[in-house]
Amino acid sequence: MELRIESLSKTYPNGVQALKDFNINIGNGMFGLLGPNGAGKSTLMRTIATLQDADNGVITLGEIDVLKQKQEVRKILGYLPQDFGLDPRVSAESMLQHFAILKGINHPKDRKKLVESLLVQTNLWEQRKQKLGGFSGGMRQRFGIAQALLGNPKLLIVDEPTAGLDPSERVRFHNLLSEISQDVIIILSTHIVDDVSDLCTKMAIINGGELQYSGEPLAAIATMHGKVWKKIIDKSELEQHIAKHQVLSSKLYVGKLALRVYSELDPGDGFTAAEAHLEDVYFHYVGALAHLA
Amino acid sequence: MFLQVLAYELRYRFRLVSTWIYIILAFVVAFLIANLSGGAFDGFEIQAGKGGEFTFVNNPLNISTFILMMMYLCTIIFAAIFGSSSVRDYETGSYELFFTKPVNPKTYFLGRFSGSYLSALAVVISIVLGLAIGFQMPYLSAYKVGPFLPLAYLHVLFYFAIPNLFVMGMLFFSVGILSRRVINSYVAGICVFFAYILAGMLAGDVEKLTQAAILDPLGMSTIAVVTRYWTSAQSNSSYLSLNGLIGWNRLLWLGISILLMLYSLYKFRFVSRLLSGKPKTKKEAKVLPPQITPGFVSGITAKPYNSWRQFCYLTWYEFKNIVFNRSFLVIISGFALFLIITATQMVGKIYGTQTYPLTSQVLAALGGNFILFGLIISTFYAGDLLWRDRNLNLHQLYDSSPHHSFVSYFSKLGAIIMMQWMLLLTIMFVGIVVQITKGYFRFEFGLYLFELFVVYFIELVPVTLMLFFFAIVMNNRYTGYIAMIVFYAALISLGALKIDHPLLTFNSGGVTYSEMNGYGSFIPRLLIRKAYWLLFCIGFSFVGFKFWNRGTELDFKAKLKRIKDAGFDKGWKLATGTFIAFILLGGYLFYNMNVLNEYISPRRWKKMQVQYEKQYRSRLQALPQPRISDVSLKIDIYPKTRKMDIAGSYWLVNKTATPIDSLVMSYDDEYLDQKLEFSKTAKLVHRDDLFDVFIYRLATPLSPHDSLKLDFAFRHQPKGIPSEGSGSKVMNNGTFFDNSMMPSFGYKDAYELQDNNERKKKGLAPKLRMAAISDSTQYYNSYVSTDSDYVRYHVEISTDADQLAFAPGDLLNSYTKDGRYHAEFGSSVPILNFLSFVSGRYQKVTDKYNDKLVEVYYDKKHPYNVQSMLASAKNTLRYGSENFMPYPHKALRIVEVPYVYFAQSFPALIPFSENVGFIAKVDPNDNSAVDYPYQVTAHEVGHQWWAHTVIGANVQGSTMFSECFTEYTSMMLIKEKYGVERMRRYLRYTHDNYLAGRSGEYKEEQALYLNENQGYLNYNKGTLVMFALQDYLGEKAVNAALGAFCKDYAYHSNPFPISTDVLPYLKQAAPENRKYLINDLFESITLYDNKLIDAKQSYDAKRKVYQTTITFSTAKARYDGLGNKSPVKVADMLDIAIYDAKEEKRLATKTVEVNGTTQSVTVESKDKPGMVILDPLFKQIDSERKNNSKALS
Repeated sequence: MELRIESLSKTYPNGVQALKDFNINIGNGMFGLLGPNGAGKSTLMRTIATLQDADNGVITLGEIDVLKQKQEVRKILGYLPQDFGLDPRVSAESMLQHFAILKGINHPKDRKKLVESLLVQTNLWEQRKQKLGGFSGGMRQRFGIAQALLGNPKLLIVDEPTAGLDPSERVRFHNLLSEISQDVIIILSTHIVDDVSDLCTKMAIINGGELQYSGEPLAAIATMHGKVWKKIIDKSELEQHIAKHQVLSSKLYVGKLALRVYSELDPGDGFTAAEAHLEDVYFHYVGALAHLA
Repeated sequence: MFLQVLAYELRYRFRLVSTWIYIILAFVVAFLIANLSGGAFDGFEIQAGKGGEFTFVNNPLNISTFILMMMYLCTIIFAAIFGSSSVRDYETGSYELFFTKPVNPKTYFLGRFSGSYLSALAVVISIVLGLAIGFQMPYLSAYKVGPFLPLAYLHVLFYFAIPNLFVMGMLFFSVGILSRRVINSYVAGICVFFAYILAGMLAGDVEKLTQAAILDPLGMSTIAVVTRYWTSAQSNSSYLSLNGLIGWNRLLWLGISILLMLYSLYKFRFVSRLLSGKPKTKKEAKVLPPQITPGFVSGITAKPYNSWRQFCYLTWYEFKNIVFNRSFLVIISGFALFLIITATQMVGKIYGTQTYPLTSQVLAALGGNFILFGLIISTFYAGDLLWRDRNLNLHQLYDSSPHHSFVSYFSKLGAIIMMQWMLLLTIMFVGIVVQITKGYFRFEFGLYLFELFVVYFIELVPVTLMLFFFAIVMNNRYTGYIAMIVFYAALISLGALKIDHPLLTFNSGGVTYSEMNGYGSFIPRLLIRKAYWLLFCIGFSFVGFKFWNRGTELDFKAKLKRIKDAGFDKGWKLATGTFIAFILLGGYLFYNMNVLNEYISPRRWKKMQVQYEKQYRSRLQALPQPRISDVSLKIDIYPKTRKMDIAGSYWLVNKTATPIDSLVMSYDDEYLDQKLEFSKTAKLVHRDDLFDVFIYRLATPLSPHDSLKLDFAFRHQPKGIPSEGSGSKVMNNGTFFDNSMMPSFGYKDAYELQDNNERKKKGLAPKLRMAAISDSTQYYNSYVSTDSDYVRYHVEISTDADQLAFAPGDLLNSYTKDGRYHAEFGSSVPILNFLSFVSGRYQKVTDKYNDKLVEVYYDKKHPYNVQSMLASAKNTLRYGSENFMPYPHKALRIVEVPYVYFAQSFPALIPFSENVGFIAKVDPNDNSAVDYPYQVTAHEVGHQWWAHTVIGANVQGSTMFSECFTEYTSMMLIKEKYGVERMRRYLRYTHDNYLAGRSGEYKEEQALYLNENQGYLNYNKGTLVMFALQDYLGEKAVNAALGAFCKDYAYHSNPFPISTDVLPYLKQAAPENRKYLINDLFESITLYDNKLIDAKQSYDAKRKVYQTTITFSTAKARYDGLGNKSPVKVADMLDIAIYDAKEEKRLATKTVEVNGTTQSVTVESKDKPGMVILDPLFKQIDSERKNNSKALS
């Protein structure tokens, strides 16, 4: 199955243009969607998840016209929004039951088995009787993942799923996703570049409502090969380097700044060649200035 | 810091559109109310406080009532302001930011509260301004609107509005902030409403007035209690004062609120989570996680097409969400408590005596406010449920799941309906508990279930559907609430515009239950009429469903675009289909109401009244007409099909001195299709079907003393579904109708428009409520009939064999033949042409007074008081025969009848309501209980003399005979049975009824002998006056006078007697020094102001007596009809009584001559005195009775 998005546009009533003539095709497997805050990721995701309409454009999922046949999409959709609440007075188990019903899993025995297995998978078994009001951020996030996995989704949309997870939970989550990614389209929206490089076979970088890059992470890194240079500088030297070079990123490093720049040729000036990372690709497309300022 | 928090809150509030909406709405509504009550809109007026031709709508009392009423209506707005302000930081999650700032929690609390208080106060001030400005509009009727009294508005503001806002605000704010849920503020709002309704109900019982005045948290009942006896003059000129009950009420509730504030300040902490209660440590066996096959994650595929199961599950889920919640617990226990208090206080109470807790009575008492409560509670939960997912931020998870939106929409609706069932079950449960505690075990579960789950429920469903419609379409919880209120206001204004056809009156159609007749044959009609409104509302539900929120785009434009894009889909088809069905059913009902039956709107009716008067008064009013002298009827009643055949004949006599050539007749035009024949040649020369005026010209005029015969016949039967009423006088069990459906003669004064303000607008001369006592033209009509005097009479009546049928007079013959019961009635003495006919299934008890048969016919479910009623009838027959005149008929029958709330006396026949005496429970353990079955029976039997033997002319004062003297008769029978002390309770009620009644007088009060048939005069004042008279003069002397009058005026007509005819008899019965009593009691409005100043007691050990020295003052005044007072000299007798501490036993009485000064007197008693009471028998009417008694310590 393939998700095709063609010339999708969306402008909000307050004038913000969230998507501008957006085109992309996404096939089975894990697809990473990278972009800074406000890039249009959530708008795109919510639109695919049938929660809002676009002004223009077409989305198809296999045979389904996503914008029109919402109900058909929902039948095969698992969605974990970036920001969601849960009923604080209900236990994890019964809330998950509740979502299972909404998803149409009506057979009580199946439902029970499914709910239990998901609770185990998301490591919530011990807390299944606990009220959701007492859940920590990580537990809540895992619960969200469990509900998204209900009903064998063919299209799984996860918006910032690992925010708030501790490292071991994050690993567990990644394993979970990679287990099911065979025949399923998984769209993983994130601004954590490592999530994409660890998991995704395909990716896209989106900024300002427009597609900046789409392809395989490794290929993206390959295009940057030999063009990333690094140097350690004093904080006070930052301004002049920004003026002179195409800076990708700068990170604090033992009280100084580790600077990475993009250059086709050796920029000299004390820079040494660096191995390209996906992060460099990301900053290359998104532009580092915003993040440096 | 406080000021910063306050300013922050104020800025926040006044940036919100809703605040401005509230303020503007309050102003507009108040302005409209002022205009409406000031008569700006023709024919539609509203009233608060006291009304009347001479009472200004903007007097201080009415202003206070209007403003308080509006504040009650604004409860929901206040709950919204205070509640949302108290929980806002929790809901938005910003509390962590606030609580970590260096703000003192108390400062935060008080600042937030004060900010909300000031913004709510803006709403209140807007109400006050709206009202004040509204009343100043120059186009308002000058006679309705009095001068602008700024002090009145300031009084309301400072005595009521400002403290009330504090009371409500503190409650809503504290509850919200401590529980951190805004819903609880609304719950508190509902509880305030409970308290108000409860206080209002208590205020209906004179013995509970003080409690009512204290209990009402907002003081509305307090005002009603304090001003209970205010006359027009007093209402126009007096301000409310903080002295007395109002002050106490204010102090109490402010005190409670301040305590609440202190408690909340103490409890309120800056913590992130409620740390109340212990953590739950449920011991659970550790369940091992199921083994998961590696790779298996979610192998079970969704089958999203079983919507029905989803619906059932979700309904239950949402229902649990409502019910298993503390706020619902508060609501339902508040509701149950309210019901219990209602039940113990109010089940059909008359004079403090309750009825047996029959299921129908219990339901009537408990269900009275159900629709209102059900609506309020449902509104509140509908808002909560519909916005719950969004408030919890769950909606993205919900909305992306593959359930149909129908499922979530209807499951929420289903949950509300189930919640309503819980309320209904609560009524049933409380009802049964009440019955058990009162030792009553005949539970009618079927009736409970049907009345609650069918009759009440289908009343509530359409409203609930509309509620959902508005909540969804308005796209916001609060605007949804407001839309619902506006919807109801619109419905009320439809009524105001006199658009009141049942098909245009939302949710019209109802049913009345009768113990005798059950639901009769009304259920199918009810269902059809409710189906009509259900279709209407379901149609709107489908439309509302189009606006259902799904997804993250809620702005209205996006919604409209979605709806537009969806095109004419299934939802629209369903809506269209439903509306078409609605219109078709409406057409069917219209055919039934307007074509098969007649529908006349009140507006048209008024126009017709004017037209009738203009068209016919001058032509017909003075036209001489013959009088009916003989009435002969044959009535066949068919209870099963609810039809009857009536055939009859009249003999008509020319009692005038001139020949009569034209007969002016009124009858339902359908008679023409049946039979109408004169014994002399007569030609129909004028036919007016609209007003039912038919004029026949006689070929040869009817000479004086000559007569002619009229034969008529017609069939009466139900025709389809009428707009109101049941369509037929015949009931399946318990038919009861009078002869008003028979043909009658002459111009009908009673058709004319009565209200003088309306008459003025229509250009008609003002009309007297009753002809002046000096108007001798009216001496030739009694006040019950305009075309006959006493008549000769004969009736044959028949009904189904399982029923009995009755008519007035003596039973001449009865037999059963061919499945029909036949009876024949006649009278040896002439009777008034005011007849009544009854048919039903009865049990009977009989007794005899000498050779007179006394019988009570009753429904088999109601045997409780028949022996008492029988004894009363028998004793009254004796009392009347001995003291007034011998009873003329062979028997006297009391027959139970359904639906009505009265008993009525006809010659030898007394139809008596199933709701009045038959089910009363006179507490045998209560020494002061009023035995009203006995008393009402005696009153009705008394009418055999006072109405049927002597009846007054159709002028002022004539009901003195028929009501004062019958009340007197019944009082004497009660006195004979129970003694004087037992009557004090009844006298207390009557005293209050009189004073409250004169305060509610619409025109002007008269002296008793000029009464215009006002109940508070002829019944209530009549009772007090006659009781005083017999106490002053002696029962024997009064009876001698009444007996002589009765014999002298028995069957007097042409002219009928007037009230001044009887006064000489009474005056003669009084000794010289008491003759002034006739003037005080009958001929003027005289009230007293007695005050007990001090009472001291000592014990004379030598003589072994207690001595009580009492200091008191007296005053006396005459009043004009509006209540303006002029003091008169006191030269009266005053009874001073000493009672025991429980006020049960009178220990001594001293009657003293009083002179209007402060006097002292010493009364001796053997037993220890506990209480001193001036005028214990209410002989001197006194609007300040409280200072007439004093407990001795």
